[in-house]
Order: sequence, then C-alpha cells, then structure tokens
Amino acid sequence: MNMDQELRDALQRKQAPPDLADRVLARINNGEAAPASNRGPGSSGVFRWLAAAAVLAIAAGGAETYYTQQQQAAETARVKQELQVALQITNDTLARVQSKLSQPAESSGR
Amino acid sequence: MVTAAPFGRTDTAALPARPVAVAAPSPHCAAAQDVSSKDLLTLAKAGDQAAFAMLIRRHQNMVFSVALHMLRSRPAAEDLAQEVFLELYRHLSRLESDAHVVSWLRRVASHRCIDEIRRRNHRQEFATDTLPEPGHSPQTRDVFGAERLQAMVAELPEKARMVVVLRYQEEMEPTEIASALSMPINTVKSHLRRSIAALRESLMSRGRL
Repeated sequence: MNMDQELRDALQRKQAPPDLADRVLARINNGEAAPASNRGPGSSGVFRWLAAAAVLAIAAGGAETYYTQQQQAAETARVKQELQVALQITNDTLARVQSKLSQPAESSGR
Repeated sequence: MVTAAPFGRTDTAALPARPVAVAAPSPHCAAAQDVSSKDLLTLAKAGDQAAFAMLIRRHQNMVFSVALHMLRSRPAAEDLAQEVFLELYRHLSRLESDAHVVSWLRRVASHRCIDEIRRRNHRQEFATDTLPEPGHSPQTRDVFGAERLQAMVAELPEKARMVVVLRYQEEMEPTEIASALSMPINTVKSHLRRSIAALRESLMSRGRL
C-alpha cells in the first residue's frame, strides 16, 4: 500500500459524539453564544488594530515633541553661552582701551 | 465505519435520526429533516434551533475529526468542536451557502487547533488521554498501523500536521489548504513534501514499508 493511501486510511473521519449538537444548543440557550453584532467594538480585530495604531501614533507624536523641545533648549543654552563669551571679550577690550587712553595723560602730566 | 469521501462531502447519511432534545419547538422542525442545504442555512439564520442542530450534525464529524487528529485527545476535540460550532452560531448571518459554511468551519477549526497546540506547548502539557478509535474492523484495516501512523502525524509540527490532516482527511487540494490556513501555496507543498518524507523515513526505519 502506498503512503498516500495509508495516510487516507489513518486520517479518515471519525464519528463525533452523538450528543454534540445537543450540548452546543444547551450552551447557546445558556447564553454562551452572543451574536457577533451584539459584542462590543473592543472585541473586533479591526478595532483592536486601530486602537493599537492610535496609541503608537500618540506615542510617536509625544516623542517627537519631546525631542524638539530638548533640541530648542540645547540651542538656547548654546546661544546664551556664546553671548556671555562675547560680552566678556567686549568688556576686556573696552578695559584695555580705557587703560591705554589714560596712560598718555598720566605721562604728559609729569 | 466512516469512509473517506471527496471534497464537499457531508455527513448527513451517518446522522442518527432522532429529535433534538434541547431545541425549542419550531414550526420548521418537521420540515428541517428534508430541507436543502440552502434552506437549512436560511432557517438556522432565522433562529430555528432544529435547523441549526441539523447543520451541526451535518458537519460535526468533519470538525471533530480535524480536532481529534490534531490534538489526539477525544475530550479536547469535543471541547474544541463545541467552541467552533458556538462561533458558527455567532457568525451565521455572514455565511451565504453550505460551501461557505464548510470552508468557514475548516478554517476556524484549523486555526483553533493550531492555537490550542501552541498553548499546550507553552504550558508543556501533553495529552495523556489518547484512545484508540472504536468501530474499525481489524479484518479490513491495519488498525495498529493506522494508529501508529496517526501518532507519527501527531508528532509533526503543528502547521505541517494541519496541512497533512486537511490533505488526507478532508482531501483538500493544496490551493484550498493555502486559502484555509492563509499560507502561501509553496509553503503548503513544502510542508506536504517534507512531512511525507519524514513519515516514510520513520515507517521504513520501523520496517513498515
């Protein structure tokens, strides 16, 4: 006998329990099979995927906003630091100029 | 003995001719015994429980056998078959013909079996209640060989096992199996080729072929 036929013989259909239909109907009458249309939207696969996509979109949007704010804060700090350095240099330069301007007056007064 | 039949077969001939004990009285009850498949579905969709019971009896051997060959446990197969028919009841309004019912039942039963096997593997539990099937004559069939082959099929990975069961129990074509399992046709053919090679090798090593 070939393999195909052996498999067909081994896997032929078996008799289901004779009271299977009765037990299914008993469960239906017991309220265990609410129609699909009466079930909440959360039970639908489509709605579950939509909800997951919405959560992901919100999370991605939040992350982008946070990243943008961090970038802006870093840029502000850098500009502030550069301004302070520039002011310091200007201050030093003015002090040197002031010092040089005052020297001839002192030497001519002697 | 249940004999193999081509794709699209029904089990009506093997049904016990007895009334449904828990079904509510229905004006269609008497007529439900000899209505066509389309009328049966229409009556069931209209809420006729006797018609729905008839629909279950028409397909119960197919669903139960798929579950039994996949799970190798009668209680588990019975539970799974009940769940599949409860789901059928919920989805009746979306089904349009008896062929649609058959393909829907095969698809849902297959996916539920694969899910159940994965749950079992996850829990590291194994069926211990495997029983030999009664009602087969040892004079006409190699019963022990068939049981050994069933056990070997049960050792295949769940998807390969499902493909083999649908191919040889339901005599489905690879394209139909691919559609039922949402699987590429080449994957179905590959599962079949490898599974048969593995089974043949295993049988040869035991001196059966």
